[in-house]
Amino acid sequence: MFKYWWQKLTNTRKIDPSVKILIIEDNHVDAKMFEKAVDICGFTSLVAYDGHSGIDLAQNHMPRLIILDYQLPDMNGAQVLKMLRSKKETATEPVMVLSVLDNSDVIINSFENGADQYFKKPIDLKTLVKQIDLMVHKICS
Amino acid sequence: MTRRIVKDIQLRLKAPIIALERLSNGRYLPQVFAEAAFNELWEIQRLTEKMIGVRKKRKKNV
Repeated sequence: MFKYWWQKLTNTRKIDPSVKILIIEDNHVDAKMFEKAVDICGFTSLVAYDGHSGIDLAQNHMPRLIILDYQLPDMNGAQVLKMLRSKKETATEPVMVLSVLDNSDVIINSFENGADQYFKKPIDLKTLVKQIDLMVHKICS
Repeated sequence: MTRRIVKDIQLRLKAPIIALERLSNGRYLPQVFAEAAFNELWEIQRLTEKMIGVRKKRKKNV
């Protein structure tokens, strides 16, 4: 079933490797899963394992979408969002926040700091692919 | 007490205002954020009612 869905998806999608998606995630297993989702979408992924290197990558590469984990070793997602929004280059970049936390404070904090989408982890690959595609093709354009 | 509630209401108003601004600018508003903004509005209503109750009680005491 998954193989059929994946084939259908890749056949209909315009693959554009010039589109860069930045993944800021400290958990290597989750980061690999997000990379796979980006790969299925046909985009290029950039991975950062902490907030500061993520901000640097965002400024240098100007990704089309940022997938951000809320809990990072050096700072939290709200702080990363605040720093991204304060910089001219990344002020309007779409950001998808993912977190294991489901309380309203985290959701509101992300929202107030400029997040464009929020998902609770664990997220399945199919949903993630759909959301990446939606954010790159519909929201960003 | 009233001052604390007013401060809380002011903080909670932020999310619904951001949601309205996003919608008025024609930007996408995910359901999770819309629901969070609605929850904040419910909480504002509850706090306002609580505050009014406090003030009524105070008047009664005077």
